[in-house]
Amino acid sequence: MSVKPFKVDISDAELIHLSKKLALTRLPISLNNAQWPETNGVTVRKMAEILSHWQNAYSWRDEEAKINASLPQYTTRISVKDFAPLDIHFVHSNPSSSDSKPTIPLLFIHGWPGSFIEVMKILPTLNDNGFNVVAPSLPGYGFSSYPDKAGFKHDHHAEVFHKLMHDVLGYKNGYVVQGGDWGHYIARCMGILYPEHCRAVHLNMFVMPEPPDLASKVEYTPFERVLLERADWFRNTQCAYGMIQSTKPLTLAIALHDSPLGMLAWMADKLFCWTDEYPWTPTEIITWTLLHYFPGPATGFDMYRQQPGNECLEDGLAAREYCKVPTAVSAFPKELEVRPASWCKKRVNLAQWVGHEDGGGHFAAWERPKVLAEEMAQFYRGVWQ
Amino acid sequence: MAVMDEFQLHQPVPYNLHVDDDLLSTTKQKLRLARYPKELEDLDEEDWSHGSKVTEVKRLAEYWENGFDWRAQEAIINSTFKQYKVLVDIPSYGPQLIHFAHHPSSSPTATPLLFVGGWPGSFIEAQKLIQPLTDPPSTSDPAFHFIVASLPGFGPGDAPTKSPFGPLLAAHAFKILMVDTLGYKKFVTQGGDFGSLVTRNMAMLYPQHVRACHFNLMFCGPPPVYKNPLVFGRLVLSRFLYSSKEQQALVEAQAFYKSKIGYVQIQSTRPQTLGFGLGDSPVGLLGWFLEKYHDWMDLTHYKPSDDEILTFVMMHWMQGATPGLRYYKALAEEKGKIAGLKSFQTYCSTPTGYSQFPGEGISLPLDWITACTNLCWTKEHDRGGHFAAVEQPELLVQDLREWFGGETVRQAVA
Repeated sequence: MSVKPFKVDISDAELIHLSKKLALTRLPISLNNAQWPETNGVTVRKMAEILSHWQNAYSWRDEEAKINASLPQYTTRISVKDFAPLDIHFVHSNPSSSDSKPTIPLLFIHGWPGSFIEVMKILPTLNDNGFNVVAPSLPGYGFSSYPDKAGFKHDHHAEVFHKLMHDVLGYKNGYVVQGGDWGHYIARCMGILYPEHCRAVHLNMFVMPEPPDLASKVEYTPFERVLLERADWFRNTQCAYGMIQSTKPLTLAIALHDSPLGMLAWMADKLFCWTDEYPWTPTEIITWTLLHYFPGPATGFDMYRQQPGNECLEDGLAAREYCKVPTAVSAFPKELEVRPASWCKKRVNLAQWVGHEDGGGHFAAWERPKVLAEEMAQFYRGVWQ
Repeated sequence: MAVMDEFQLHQPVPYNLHVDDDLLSTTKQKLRLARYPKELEDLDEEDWSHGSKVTEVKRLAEYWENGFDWRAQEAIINSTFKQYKVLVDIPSYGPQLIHFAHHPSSSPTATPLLFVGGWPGSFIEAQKLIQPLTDPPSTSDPAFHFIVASLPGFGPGDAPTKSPFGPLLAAHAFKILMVDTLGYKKFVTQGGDFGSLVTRNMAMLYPQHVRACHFNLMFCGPPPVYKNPLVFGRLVLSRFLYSSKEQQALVEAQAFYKSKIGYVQIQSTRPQTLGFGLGDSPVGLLGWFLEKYHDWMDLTHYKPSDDEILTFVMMHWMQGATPGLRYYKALAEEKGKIAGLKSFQTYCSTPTGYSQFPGEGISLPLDWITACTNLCWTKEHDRGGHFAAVEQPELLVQDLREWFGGETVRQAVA
């Protein structure tokens, strides 16, 4: 089970191809220069601005160098029951200081449309606090390979990452896990499947249907009501992307694999709508886009087909089984779905539920790195024996 | 696209389709640089259930780049369709250019017929209907003055510059076209896809002008229980009371809503976000449309040629895809008693004929239709799908002759 060092190194040919395509980009024609407002902020004017930056100022090589400098990366091959082995790309960064405190292995799991680089801002704080940080690319994302057949569920992801921590990296004394988006399901699955090893779970999202056995008169705080409304808004009006990605991922992928602008718009939609007024720079948006464009967005979409929304809610492992491992939930107001404590404790051994009323959204590690990292460190240290 | 200032209200100006050399050249360069994902490995070669097959998109894209002669297709379109653009002023909206083709019949007893299609179609779907409808082989066959109008944003129909422009506004615009521009005070309509909503609205808004309708697609759901308890009751007990054909229709409708409705959801909520990619990538738009041709055409009885497919795609590629997509959002956002799908909650008393083509994705129990429409005539076919005018023009023409040539419609139009 060899671990090979890895550096992101997109080929010159790929970069040249991209710049040729960018030069040919066809922005939507606006008759009479009509500028239509878009509720998600993905207007022609905004995309034109970012495109111009992309064509004239953006340097992938610079961003690539920053990623490689701040995130030590590796690849390894991991076997999975019922599937061919997968090549897994991951970040692995250890604390530099020799502290008397024992170090705690920490697995950070991203989701869609994120990537392994979401660990970037919290990494230094976590290392400083004595955590060995591991942040993989999910199979089908970044530089990890994709399963050879259908049926790869959150539990399979959990198996891959458990093996990464326990077998490949040799963390035999256990580890802790943090997850949002897909990562939050996978983290819950790890707690369910590997309770002796996965010793604590921290989540910044919590998806679940209303429990049938809630106390008859549950009083929600105003903040909890904000969260409940947000979840309703998300489920009722914002899930078209999930529908198309879970039913026709390939049709969508054909367009976004070929159109950098197309992938940019698809990405910007979520970066704008799912965050709490985070001031995304053009560089950030483009880099996040390229981390899906370069490997190809198809497999990221296909994950929605493998475990569609209703399965996540009803039939998936995390929905069916209770997680006994101490679990912390971090509730940011612009997260898409994070349920009240009274709900979460029906599905997990809820050790703490922290509401962050002053702000933050779906990409907590990117939007509120200090708050999140400190909360994670404190929680994990408290649980770790 | 045309500049409105050059037009006078209700004065049609002859129009010839012409796509800029620049766009054709850019398209070729984009095709040369096309970048494809891998096929989904767990699906069979012939399994399109999760999207268009990359190999087929690639094959067509290569033909588009190297063999497809757009100018030749353009010339055929221009020689087949007598096209115009006309400026209309839509109440509560404003000025809008409408693209249409007008083929008057030489028959003194001809009935004016307006044909309206939908998405991802365009006016060229009517190609095979013009001749037989305007100039039938036998004098005992009814003749028609044939008009096909482009929804604004489709093909060369100038895209609306204000949001939203849906079936209601199109209905008003096309009434102005038929009545105020062309002088047809009484006429009949043929509608499929969005066109069925547009023409239904025209019939309900302007019953004095729209004297009879024909549809090859109806969108109505079951009536609510309080409106028609018998029909609703039949649905609830469908396992026992529906014929096997109706049960099959229900199953297909449920499958459609479960796994094929993603495009409706994304197009009705984020048409522009999606449109950035579909308007920038020719293979992307090709893949998006190919899925619909594959799913909605009865391919066992009609195979569109490569030229046909690419010409259909060009109709939306011309204006960068987004204007067509916006219709779905406009449909969802329209206001008013008969706006959007609420149209089916009001009874339409206009004499209606309905052709049932088996390949149509949604085929309904007839009592859902009769609950909201004065259905006078229907015929079931054993072949043909969503694009009836393209796939089975002879059958459609026959149906139109039979229904519109019959006594009910003759009296209605007189």
